[in-house]
Amino acid sequence: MSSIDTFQKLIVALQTYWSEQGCVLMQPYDMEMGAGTFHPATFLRSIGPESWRAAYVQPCRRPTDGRYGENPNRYQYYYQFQVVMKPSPDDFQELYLASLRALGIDPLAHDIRFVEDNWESPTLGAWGLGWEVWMDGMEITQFTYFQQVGGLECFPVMGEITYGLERLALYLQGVEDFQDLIWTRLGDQSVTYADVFHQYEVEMSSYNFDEADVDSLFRQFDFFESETSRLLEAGLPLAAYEFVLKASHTFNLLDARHAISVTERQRFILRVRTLSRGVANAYYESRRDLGFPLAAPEIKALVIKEQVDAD
Amino acid sequence: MRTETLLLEIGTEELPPKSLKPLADALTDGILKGLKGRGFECGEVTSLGSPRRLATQIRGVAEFQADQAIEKRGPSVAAAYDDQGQPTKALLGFARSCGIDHPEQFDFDRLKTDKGEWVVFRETRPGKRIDQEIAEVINQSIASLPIERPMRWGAGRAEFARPVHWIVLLYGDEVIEVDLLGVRSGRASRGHRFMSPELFDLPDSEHFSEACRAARVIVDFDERRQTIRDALILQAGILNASLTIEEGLLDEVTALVEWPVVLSGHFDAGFLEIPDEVLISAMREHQRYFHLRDAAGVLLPVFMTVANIESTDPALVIAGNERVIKPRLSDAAFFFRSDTRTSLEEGLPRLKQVVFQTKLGTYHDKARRISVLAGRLAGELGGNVEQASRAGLLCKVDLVSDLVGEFPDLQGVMGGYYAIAGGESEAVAAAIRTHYQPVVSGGDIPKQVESCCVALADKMDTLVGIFGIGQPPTGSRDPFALRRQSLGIIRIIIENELTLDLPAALEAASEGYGNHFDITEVYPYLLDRLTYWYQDNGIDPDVIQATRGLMRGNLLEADRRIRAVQAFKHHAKAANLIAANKRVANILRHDDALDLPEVDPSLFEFDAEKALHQALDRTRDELANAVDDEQRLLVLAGQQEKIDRYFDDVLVMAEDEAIRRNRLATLAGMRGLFLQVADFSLLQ
Repeated sequence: MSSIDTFQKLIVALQTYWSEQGCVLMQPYDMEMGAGTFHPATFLRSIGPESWRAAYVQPCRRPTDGRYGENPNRYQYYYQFQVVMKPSPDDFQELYLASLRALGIDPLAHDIRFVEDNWESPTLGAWGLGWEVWMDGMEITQFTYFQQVGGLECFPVMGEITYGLERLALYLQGVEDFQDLIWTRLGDQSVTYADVFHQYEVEMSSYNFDEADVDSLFRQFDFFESETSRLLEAGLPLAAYEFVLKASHTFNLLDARHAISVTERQRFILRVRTLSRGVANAYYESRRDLGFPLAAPEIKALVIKEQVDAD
Repeated sequence: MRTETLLLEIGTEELPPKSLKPLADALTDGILKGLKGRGFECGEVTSLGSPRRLATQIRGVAEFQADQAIEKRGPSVAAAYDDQGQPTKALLGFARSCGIDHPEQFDFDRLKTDKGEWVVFRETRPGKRIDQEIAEVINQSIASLPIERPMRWGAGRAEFARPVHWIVLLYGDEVIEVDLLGVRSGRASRGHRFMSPELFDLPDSEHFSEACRAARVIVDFDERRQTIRDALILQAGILNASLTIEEGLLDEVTALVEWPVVLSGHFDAGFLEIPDEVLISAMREHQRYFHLRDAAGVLLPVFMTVANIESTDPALVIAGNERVIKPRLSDAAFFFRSDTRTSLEEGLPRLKQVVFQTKLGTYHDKARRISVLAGRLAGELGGNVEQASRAGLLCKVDLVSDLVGEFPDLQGVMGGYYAIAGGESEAVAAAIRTHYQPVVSGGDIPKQVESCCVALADKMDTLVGIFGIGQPPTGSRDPFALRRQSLGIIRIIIENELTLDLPAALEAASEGYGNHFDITEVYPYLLDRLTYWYQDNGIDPDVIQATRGLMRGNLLEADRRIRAVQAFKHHAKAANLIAANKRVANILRHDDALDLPEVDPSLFEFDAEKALHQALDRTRDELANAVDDEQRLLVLAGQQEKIDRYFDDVLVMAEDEAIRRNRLATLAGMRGLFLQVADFSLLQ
């Protein structure tokens, strides 16, 4: 068994490894989101020419994935460990594989593969190409080169690595069920994932599927939408983005309640996408006004020249 | 001339499996065309590819292009030299463009034409060496690769299917240095990502596959595919199980590994209570596993997977895979159980939220139309009207089930299971299960009458609707798969020997849309598809031409006739009959052949005329009494001598108009009889 024998050691090991690769260690964003990609450290930082490296844990909420804690590894609330590097380095895949070694995973014993899986987020107006990484047939990581975000072409390209922490931990601890994962231990005392989250999982499945108040959610969605637009007009893209996050999560809840018909669904996605695009454009302009302070000089010069040529 | 093998390897991050082989083949084609187009002789080509590389090996590539003869025409002689015979500005300019410094000393060739005499520059340019031309050849080939979604990476502007890391370009043992996709070419390649991670130098272009093998990569797609196939069969034998290898899955797996190793594992036998199709889909779609059955065809709780490594601990890999499949199957079981909690009928209203086509309404609307039409067809075909209508009404409900949401390819199949679970009859369930068939070209089609009715109704409804809103398939655009649906209609009718008036059935489908649509193009479209289908089935195009105009709406009748005529083409008398019919058809195109009178036997001058005329009446009766087209064709074949004799003895286009028109009328009568079966004049 790996020396990474608790859930929290896994997080610490990944933070240590990626910290050594020059990543800014961020903390989880304190709002509901469906994936680490929604964290501003990914979504917003992928926009424009500025360089950026960051790593963080992000709890993800996917209301439709709830199974009342009954499926051995399908939860509506779970953890991702997110790494982003922009520009994506040449040895990006090797850096990732070295992180697995750092966790005690021997790539000569396991069957590790990069299996095509292209990523698209209709609500973020974003897409990228990449893989899901399989270890012995299990998807443990999502690996993506962003091509477009918020409707804007990505240059330079941000590379994104998303580890599914629970799944990785299943391997490292040799257990089959999320619930049996050891979160931490002291002597012969241990706290399991179930101890921490099982009741929450059951209650939140009930809330998501059965209890969430549909009418209020619809009203909230409308408010979050109008608030985003108002804040964009006020020139506050970061504040506006928080309301996009709220709108997006509200949409996910309505979806879990089967409150949105198939035809309406498309319209709701479009509404969120319009907001994301607005934020992306406003954020780009705000960074340009600041002179793209984190951009490499030659890339900044190139982007500014191209913009002038285009105008 | 010296020739060598040329090798290009583009080393990448893991390529999309579906495009691996097409990209490798397109790269090879492009380079071969480019080299040949530039006059380099080339020998045998091999296209290679694995997840981390595309490669092309061309043997016998000439070191130099063929010499190139250049001819440039300059100004006219009159304009090229002045009165003193000195070069004019026009000639000086031309000379410069030809690279001649002292035109006054240069003896230009002259070219005389009927429009005058011209100054000409001729030169034989020695062919360039391969290293001077190859970069452009490769660049053009890469630019025209069919990359579905090109991507960029890092801070570069290069675009390819996945990031590019190394390029090998060798001519014999010589490196040709070029800059491609942001990388400088060399001789260093890479082997298996984990088992042979070090860079290694290729000594020459010839022994690429061997060098890759030593570095744990089987670089030839077909060889890798065969290796996997053999290993799967071997492993199935060891497990004493029966294996059906799905070729599409084998292709995909072949494109996912560089060093295939087949392993097998187990899952909990308790999952076998979920329908086989669900288990197989979960294994195939999510995990790329192959499934196994016992000798009696019962699914086994066993899977085979193709790993990309000779693991130092295969048990670990197997245990990992066994752990993965469990939640996948748990999820499928969860969906199956929750789906069977509601009956199809209870789910029906949810179809109101699923759009079939914006202008054609929801699947709820469609289900009601299918129901009515399927019932009507069942009435016509002697099936159970109630069961066909019921199945038609419920056949789309599984679209809103969780399981079909997860496994779209199980649409219809799951509906069948849910129908049984909800207490519907076996006939209704079967009709729901099979109504999408055939799902692939040559695939199974429904057999029971009620099933055929639902399958036909669904397809006709789509066909009429999409044509009705003016969106028939064009070129490669066929979003509703109308070609496949049409072929399905044809096959279901003909192969099940259904006697159905097709145009009338299409009219009935149109009634479902309130008769708002102009559907005049639908039946001809189906006949076009029929023509292609027959061509694929060994029927000559002329046979279809000869019978198409005579098809009434009954495809089954038409099919019998087409096959009879096809067979008849080989009859001893066929050639003469076809020739005679062509002759008759030509003569009848004459203006005199319009508004022909009744045949008047009193105008006959020859025995042959009488004989043919008498034969006409007899033949008409015989045709009417014949039991099938074979017999009708034999009756017609029996007329051959009389027709030949008629043409030998009788001058049809006689001077006398009355006689002439009487003879034409006789021939027209004869032709009319032939046309009851086929237009023989269109046969070859």
